[in-house]
Amino acid sequence: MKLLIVGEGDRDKAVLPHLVSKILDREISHSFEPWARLNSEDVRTGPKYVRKLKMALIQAHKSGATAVAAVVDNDDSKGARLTALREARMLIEQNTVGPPMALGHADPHLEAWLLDDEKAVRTTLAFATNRAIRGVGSVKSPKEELNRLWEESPRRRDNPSESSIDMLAALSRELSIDRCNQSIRTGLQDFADEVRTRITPK
Amino acid sequence: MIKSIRIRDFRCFNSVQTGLRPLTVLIGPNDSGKSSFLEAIRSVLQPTVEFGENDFPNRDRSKQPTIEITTDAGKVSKSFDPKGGGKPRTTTESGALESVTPFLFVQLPNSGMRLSGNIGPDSDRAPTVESNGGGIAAVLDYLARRDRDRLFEIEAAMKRQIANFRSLEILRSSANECTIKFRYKDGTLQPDTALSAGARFLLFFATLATQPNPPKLLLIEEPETGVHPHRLSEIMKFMHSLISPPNSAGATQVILSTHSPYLLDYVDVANDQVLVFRNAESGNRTVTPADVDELKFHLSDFKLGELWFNLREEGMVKAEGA
Repeated sequence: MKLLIVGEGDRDKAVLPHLVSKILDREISHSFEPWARLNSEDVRTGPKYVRKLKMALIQAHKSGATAVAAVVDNDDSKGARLTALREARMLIEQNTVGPPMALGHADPHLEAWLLDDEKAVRTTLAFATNRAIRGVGSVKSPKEELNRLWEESPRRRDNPSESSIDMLAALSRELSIDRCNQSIRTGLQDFADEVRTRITPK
Repeated sequence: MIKSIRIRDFRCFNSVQTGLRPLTVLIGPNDSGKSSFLEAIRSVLQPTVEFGENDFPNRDRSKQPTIEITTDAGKVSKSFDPKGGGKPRTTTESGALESVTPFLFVQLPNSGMRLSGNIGPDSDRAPTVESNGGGIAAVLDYLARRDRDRLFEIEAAMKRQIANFRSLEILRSSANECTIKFRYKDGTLQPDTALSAGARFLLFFATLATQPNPPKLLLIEEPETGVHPHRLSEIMKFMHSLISPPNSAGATQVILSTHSPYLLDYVDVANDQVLVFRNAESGNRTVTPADVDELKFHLSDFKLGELWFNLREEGMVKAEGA
């Protein structure tokens, strides 16, 4: 199967395919698109998230994908983005037959999903096995915390030219969803459930 | 009007053939051949001008650049003749060149255009706007004296786009010189040299589209240069009024290139043409008409520019093998 994965940018492009592959427990073929940028203020074109999902469906069709997995950052939206996306999906599914869409939100952002697996963080960053990692629920910004850990890690010293995107991709390859204790809070569990129920091949 | 063009071994093109419409918009990434396409048209409309070094693919003078256009009056072709001592070989069917000339090739300078200038001797024949903005003062001076309705049209267009604009002041500074100033609603006057580049471009386009003797063909690179996205609708209105003039002026064929999705929003997919330029993996450039049927299907949900931005060039054309 080929998937279209939709996310916020380069960071999601590097991380989400590995996570979706783990959730489906199989190698996937995929293409990635950032969320559509829409400039029209024309009301006839409909609600923003309906249009964003419709654009994803066109992109899926163009790329030959048979399913869509899409993730938004929650940031400070208190879940409003995911709610709007799910309403948009319902509207679209009522009116058209298209590929299945699994939706998720990373609360507050994708690094929360990654920081939640302390073992994967230690392994990826080459820390000693007894190195304490602050849980995702006890830090204000998982993004800043993960960045701080990376900056002081042996991995960083060994690979000073490596980009943070490459590090995140490596971390996503190490991650095990079963070890993520806060996955309900971060939104990962919801997303994994959606991917399994909506787009697992029958 | 140019109905079609065929280009072979010219600049970045191996072989390209495509039809053209009254308004054709060229889109594609940088270095995909849009400018070379416009240059090819300019070159064939100047049949006696020799091919320059850059016109040969990879500067390889063993290649023989050939450009052929078919107008509604016949064919004009120009090719490199290795035995001609550098002179191009040209063939022009009767009336073919005249049906698309005079033409104007416009590349907007980032710094804007000078509006004030020489107005030349008075004549019953209306002067015309030139590609560098020359002639604007002469046209406006002519309209102020001989055709005030057109001048009011220009002022109305400027009022729609520039806050507080009231009128144009066209002042003879000497027998042959004219100064253009903007008068604002509070009474202040601004000379053209104090106006923004965008404001001067708007006046250029308004004058170009409203002048009594427009060119038969307008080639223009990136008309969005220096213009606010919200004003691009007005630019495209000017382009559409050039191809379907509301007054007695002859129609102008317009071929323009753009990098602006906002400008593309105002293309009429059913009647205008969008040509998609791409770099093939072989290094060759391809030119493909946009897939109008599919784009029309999506236009109830999206503007054309949104489709281009999000689907990129590949999403604007039929998939190969489809």
